[in-house]
Amino acid sequence: MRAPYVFDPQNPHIVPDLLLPALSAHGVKKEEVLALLCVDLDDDCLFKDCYLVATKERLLYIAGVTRLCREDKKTLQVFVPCKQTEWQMKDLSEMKMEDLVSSCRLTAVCQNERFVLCNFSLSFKEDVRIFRGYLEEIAKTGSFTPLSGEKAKKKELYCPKCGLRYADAENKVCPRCQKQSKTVCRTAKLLSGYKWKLILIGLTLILSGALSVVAPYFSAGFFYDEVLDAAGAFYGKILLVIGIIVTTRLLSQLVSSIHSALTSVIAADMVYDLRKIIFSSINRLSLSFFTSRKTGGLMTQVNSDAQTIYWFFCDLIPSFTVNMVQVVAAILIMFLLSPPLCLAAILFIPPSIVAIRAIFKKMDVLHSRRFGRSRSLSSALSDMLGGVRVVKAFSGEQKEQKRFNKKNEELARADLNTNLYGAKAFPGVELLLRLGNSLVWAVGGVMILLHLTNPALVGERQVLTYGLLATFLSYVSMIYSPLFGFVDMISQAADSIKAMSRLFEIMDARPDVVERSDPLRLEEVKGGLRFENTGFCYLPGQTVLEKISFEVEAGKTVGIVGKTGAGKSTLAHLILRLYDPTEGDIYLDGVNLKDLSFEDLRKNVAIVSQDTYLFAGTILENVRYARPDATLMEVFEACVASGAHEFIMKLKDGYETRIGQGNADLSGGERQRLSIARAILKDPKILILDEATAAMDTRTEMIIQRSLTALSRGRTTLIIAHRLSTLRDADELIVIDGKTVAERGTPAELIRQKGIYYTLYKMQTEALKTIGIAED
Amino acid sequence: MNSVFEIAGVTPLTVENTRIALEGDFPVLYQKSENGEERVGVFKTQRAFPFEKEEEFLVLLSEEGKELGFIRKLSDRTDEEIAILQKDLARRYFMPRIKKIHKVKEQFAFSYWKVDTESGPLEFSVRDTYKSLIHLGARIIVTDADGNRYDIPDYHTLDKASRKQIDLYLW
Ligand SMILES: Nc1ncnc2c1ncn2[C@@H]1O[C@H](COP(=O)(O)OP(=O)(O)OP(=O)(O)O)[C@@H](O)[C@H]1O
Ligand SMILES: [Mg+2]
Repeated sequence: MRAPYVFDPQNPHIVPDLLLPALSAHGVKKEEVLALLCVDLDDDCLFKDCYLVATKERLLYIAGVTRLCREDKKTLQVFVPCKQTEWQMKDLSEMKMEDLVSSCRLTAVCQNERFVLCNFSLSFKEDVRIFRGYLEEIAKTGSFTPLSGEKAKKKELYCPKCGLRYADAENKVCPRCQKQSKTVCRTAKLLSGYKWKLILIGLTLILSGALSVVAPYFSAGFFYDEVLDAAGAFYGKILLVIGIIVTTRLLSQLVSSIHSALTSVIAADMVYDLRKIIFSSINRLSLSFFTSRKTGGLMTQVNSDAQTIYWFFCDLIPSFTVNMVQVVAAILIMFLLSPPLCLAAILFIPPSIVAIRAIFKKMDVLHSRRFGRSRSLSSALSDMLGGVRVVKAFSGEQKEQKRFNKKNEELARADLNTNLYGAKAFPGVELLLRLGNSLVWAVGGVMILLHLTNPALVGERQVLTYGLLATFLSYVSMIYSPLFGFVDMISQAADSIKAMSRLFEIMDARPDVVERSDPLRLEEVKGGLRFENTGFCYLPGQTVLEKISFEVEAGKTVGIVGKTGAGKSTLAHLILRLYDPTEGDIYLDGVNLKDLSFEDLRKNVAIVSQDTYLFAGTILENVRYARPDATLMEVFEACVASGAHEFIMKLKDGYETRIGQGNADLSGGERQRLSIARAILKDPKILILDEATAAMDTRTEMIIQRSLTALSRGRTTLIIAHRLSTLRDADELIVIDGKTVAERGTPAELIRQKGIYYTLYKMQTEALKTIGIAED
Repeated sequence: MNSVFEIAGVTPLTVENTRIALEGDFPVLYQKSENGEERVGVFKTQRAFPFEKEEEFLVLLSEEGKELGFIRKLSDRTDEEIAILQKDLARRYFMPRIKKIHKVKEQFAFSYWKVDTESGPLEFSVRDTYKSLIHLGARIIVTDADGNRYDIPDYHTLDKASRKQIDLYLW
């Protein structure tokens, strides 16, 4: 971004010309350079250009600034070094990247002491990570092979054309270069089913617009000049002309009735369809998409974006066209009637548009501030209401009241400002337009007077009658009134297009976890699992699991233990393919999970996870979520096995008790039992219990485990637990420590090993001993 | 004293039980006992309250991330050690300080900032601007799309033009 030299993983040895003088000062030739890096922070944390130059023997650090310099009428970039250090390559070892709060540094050990090689901001992390690998190889072997293929591709974050940042680096759609007309067309294609209805809407609007342009012609000037005037062609035919006027009015009314009927029919359908499209696009994305974004934003997206897009097509485009046609037609007619008057009428339009635009711009700022404050108020409100238990328990009512009052006040102030501004600004513009109107009066009046006093002065063709002036004035109001609308439409159209590009951003987003196009199907799943050198990190550089290798035979029960935060739940999520491993693979019955069809995988693996989630609905519905076609008997059996039956029958409505959105009416252990019932109902080949019984008493847990064993029918079970007694029936235990499998074996073996498990075991039994209970 | 710190194994590090010295560019912790000193190793310093108390409650972590103990107050250490730790902390918690904001332009999902910092002029992009500003009274921390943070130590001391650029995001 800031550096004049951009690191290219495939060609890290290319030296920019401006660096050559500095290099030769150190006696380094261009050809000697093996790899070169430029980062942005010097040791005093100032933004400089800092180069690390690696040759076979040495590592050079040169920090300096790049200046522009004029020479022979050409602007040259000149690098002025200000600080330099060098190390002998063979002394360097253990290069490490260290993450600091808002920056990083690359360090290395040189003669038993650790030194900083360079400092850089987080934007350079990717470059340095690759360079570090090269450097390590050079220090060890004297040379290196640059990465190639996919690995060498740096993520492009910015649009090369306009420099804007991609909203999503994975699918490079620049929000600006992506033509807006293209976005609109794409959306239109989505809605092609509505083509004829939309055209019909447009037609009715155009018709009503045309009628409203014609109507004043008959009712104003025509009436005075042709009907009431003795010289007029329709003199005395009042009834006929009244008839025409009434008919046009009626027709116009009819057309607009048809129009509104049509719109209301389409509205419901189209918003429904759009919501469906948006939701299904969101729904197919991987878990990481949801955890990295705030769900609140997604909720508005489904709800309001559908409305906005509908509105664009059904309201904005048609009415814009019609208003436009109307204005142009009116101006045309006015011009035909009297060019000088027309000029007077449109004189005030450009300044008004400028003024209105300025007002709307300011209004936009005020509105978005108001919007932000109302968002802040509602999020504070939901926070307070959601945490009402804590508020009461810590008697925080006063504090919350204060917090609420403050937000409320802020919102009120923003409201007031917005309204006040509107109240001040809009009459101003109206005044401007009134002036335009008065100008027409004035010019028209002068013209008529001139005609009366000195007919010869004004040509025969320029005759202005009272009637003509009246007609004219009705057209003037016709071109003034849509002006506000136009400007408003422009900003609203921008909003709609934003909604559309948000839609495509989601539609085009590629899920991280994708099914192979020709996935393998398994006739019958046995439930054997194998991890092979599996590694995973949620964020690049922050490894959670590495080099995990173990095998679970089909039908066995395996316990997984490890400190909190060791990565046990992560391991379980990998089996479900909620995430894909960043390294290595996982196999189910010898088939790589990545090759397996989602259907087979998800049908055969079930998890009871640590944080249970129940949907709003009845208990029955919640348990049936695993298998909607399960019979009542099956649900009943599953709940009995999970121990949920016991508490369900204490509820008045039994299995049909409604549980609320916050699950406020069930205890932690009760919720866990429902989740287990869900998993049992699914009857998977592999069952993962992630602390599934942690919130229950030991007796209940034991009963559940027995029923699970009875029901298991050769099922592979992975039990993640902190309480070792939960794992007493496990065939084998796996201890996760230090990001990898630290110990594995039967409980007895592990105790004999006297390792991590043994320490844990001793601690727990000792705790029991102190209260006089010994476990055998 | 059988305090909660002893039970949890979080040791208060005082001049009596430890010494800090520089080794290469990195500070190293030595444990003092009756029969001399033992080198514990290179450590990282982390502030427990990075915004509230910059020189108190400093937790020392080993290179592997294991907690070695904590320093209650920086001023309790020797002058030499204070200098070492202050330098290390300054580097570790470095955030460019924004002096002037030339322009904040909101475009699509990002806002694009052009600023002067005490470390030099800078341009960066911020995703979801409202959410990326942390308000600490008059102090504002901006987090850009790459995760870099920038510090506006006191909003009120910015000049008027700069304030106007970010006015919209403040309440
Ligand atoms: N979505 C996520 N994004 C980033 N980091 C995560 C995410 N989920 C978990 N982590 C981190 O990954 C590590 C492992 O988490 P995991 O949930 O697998 O631990 P665990 O062994 O199940 O712990 P516990 O026993 O407390 O349930 C933790 O340090 C956690 O902070
Ligand atoms: Mg867990």
